[in-house]
Amino acid sequence: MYDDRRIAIGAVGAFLLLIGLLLPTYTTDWTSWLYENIEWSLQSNDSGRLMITALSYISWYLMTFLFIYLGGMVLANIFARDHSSLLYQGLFVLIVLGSVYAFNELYNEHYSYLIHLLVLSILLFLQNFIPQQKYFYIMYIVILAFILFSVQWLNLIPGMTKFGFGSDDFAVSIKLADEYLTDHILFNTLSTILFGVFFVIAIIVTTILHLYSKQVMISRQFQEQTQELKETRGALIETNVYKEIHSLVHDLKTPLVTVEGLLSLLAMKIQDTKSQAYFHKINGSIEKMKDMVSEILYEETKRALHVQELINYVVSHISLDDPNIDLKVKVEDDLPMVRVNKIRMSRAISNVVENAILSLQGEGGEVNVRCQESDEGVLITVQDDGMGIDAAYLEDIWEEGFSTKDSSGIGLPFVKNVIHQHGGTVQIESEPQVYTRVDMFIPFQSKEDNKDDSRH
Amino acid sequence: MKKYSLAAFLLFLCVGVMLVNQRTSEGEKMNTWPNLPAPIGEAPMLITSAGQATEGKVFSFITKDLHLEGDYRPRALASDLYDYSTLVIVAGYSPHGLNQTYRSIKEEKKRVHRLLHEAERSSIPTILIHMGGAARDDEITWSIMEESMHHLDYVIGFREMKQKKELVKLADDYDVPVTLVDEMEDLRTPFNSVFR
Repeated sequence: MYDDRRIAIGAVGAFLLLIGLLLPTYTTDWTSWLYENIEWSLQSNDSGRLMITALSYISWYLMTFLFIYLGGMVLANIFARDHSSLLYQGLFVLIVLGSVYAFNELYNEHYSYLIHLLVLSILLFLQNFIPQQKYFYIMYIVILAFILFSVQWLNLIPGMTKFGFGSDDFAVSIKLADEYLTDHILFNTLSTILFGVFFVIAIIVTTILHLYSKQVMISRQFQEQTQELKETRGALIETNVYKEIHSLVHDLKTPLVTVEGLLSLLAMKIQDTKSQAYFHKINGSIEKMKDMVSEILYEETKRALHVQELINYVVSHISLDDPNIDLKVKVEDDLPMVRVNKIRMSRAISNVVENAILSLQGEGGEVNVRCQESDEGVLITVQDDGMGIDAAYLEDIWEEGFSTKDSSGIGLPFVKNVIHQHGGTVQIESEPQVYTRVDMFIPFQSKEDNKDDSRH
Repeated sequence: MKKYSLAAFLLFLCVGVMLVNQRTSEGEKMNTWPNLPAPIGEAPMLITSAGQATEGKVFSFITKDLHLEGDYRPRALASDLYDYSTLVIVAGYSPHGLNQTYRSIKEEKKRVHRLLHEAERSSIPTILIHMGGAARDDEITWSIMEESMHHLDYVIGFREMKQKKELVKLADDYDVPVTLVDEMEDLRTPFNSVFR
């Protein structure tokens, strides 16, 4: 897949290069017009016509070299994607200079290499300031066109001839005609001005694009920070709510003790069998409530529990509204008991199951919850065939505050925390658009732990 | 900093090549004939191009300014020479100019060679003008000049030229007087001396 893409990019680059190299073959009418116009300007003693011919000459070479430079850039991109790397820059320079050499050989031309050394030098410098964003190639082409257009005017400055500029056929002819018509005054002046003006435009355009991109980046960062702040505020409110619930639950303990005390008084006063049975049932419920309050208030409160009972408790708290989502639960028979904080552990498992359901929302699919014995413990596996998680995020999802769904990002860290508190491990595996699997391992209750300390 | 290193290297290379080019084209000052001591040619003259560059056309306008009688025929053949008393060859290879004639450089060189032979056979004085200077000192233009030298009676060129030394030495070998000038305007005096 990756190789196919590289081949396609390579073909585009080679095609662009070929267009540049073969352009003179398909534009013979244009070049004839240029040649005839130089002679006509001499014949009619018309320096204005010579100036128009010079503009046309610059445009003709601009088109040719634009294709060659773009082809070179695309080809160099196959081997090195980073435009600031030496490998990319070196390849780009080699391809462009090689193509200019091929162009000169093919058409017996003597186009000055100095122009290209200068264009490449300016381009490699300025490209570091072109923002690597959506419209990078359009911006690159615009700046390249300005640089090519400006630097080529050096070919038409007669004073630069002795340095090696303007050695191609048309440039020599235009300069000779200019010497005859204006004694070099016209082209020494205008070519210098046009070179300077377009060069400054190229610099200004690059600077504007660079500043604009910086501004866009800053406003994007600001948006991200605002969003982060909003999420943190949400999480803080959530934490405060939990704190209030915690203190409310704590306050439940006092009336429960009162009810328990009064019930024991009633049990002593009313001795008939039927009432005693009711008192016993009420007392059992009070004990259960006390256990639950303890588990909510104290993380370390654990009790021995059948896995089936734990899973039933989890499933009873899950609301499944989407008929297209199929929740399948399978618990291996005769699993030994686990020693857990029922409330917290069931909340942790619920979080994982709810995440799986959430990933299927709208599209439907299957969520499988399996419990099986594995190496002195129970392995609870929750698997869904939803959108999956990108490999790049698999490490980050355990971080508090990280979320790919604009949620508070505290669910999975809570799961990890609870499982670790129970001496277990949790692992996640995912393939985007295929599946996500969470494996939670909880060790079985050991003999030393047999003493139930669920009551505080 | 690494990302700017190649750009800086190319810039230095560019400046280096520019300085080398300047030294090569200017070089040491050489003494050549300022003009001919006595006229060798007579009007009318046939001006033709060797290489089909624009220089031929430009030079024909200079001769007009000098009120010298002659015709500019860029593709003149040996058979056209019978009507003229002097042959002026303006050397300069132009790939685009040659494309207009649908001729190859080989055919162009053959045409010039025949013209030179005919001029020598008819004892017509032959003058070679090279007005491209440093901008047109390519190998093909130089080969045209080199191959023509032994047929020539006078050479006028530009001082700013890569093969300046070789040109003077070659002309010396064949006893051909050479005048090298600084700019186009300076061509007029030595060329005038051919006729007046």
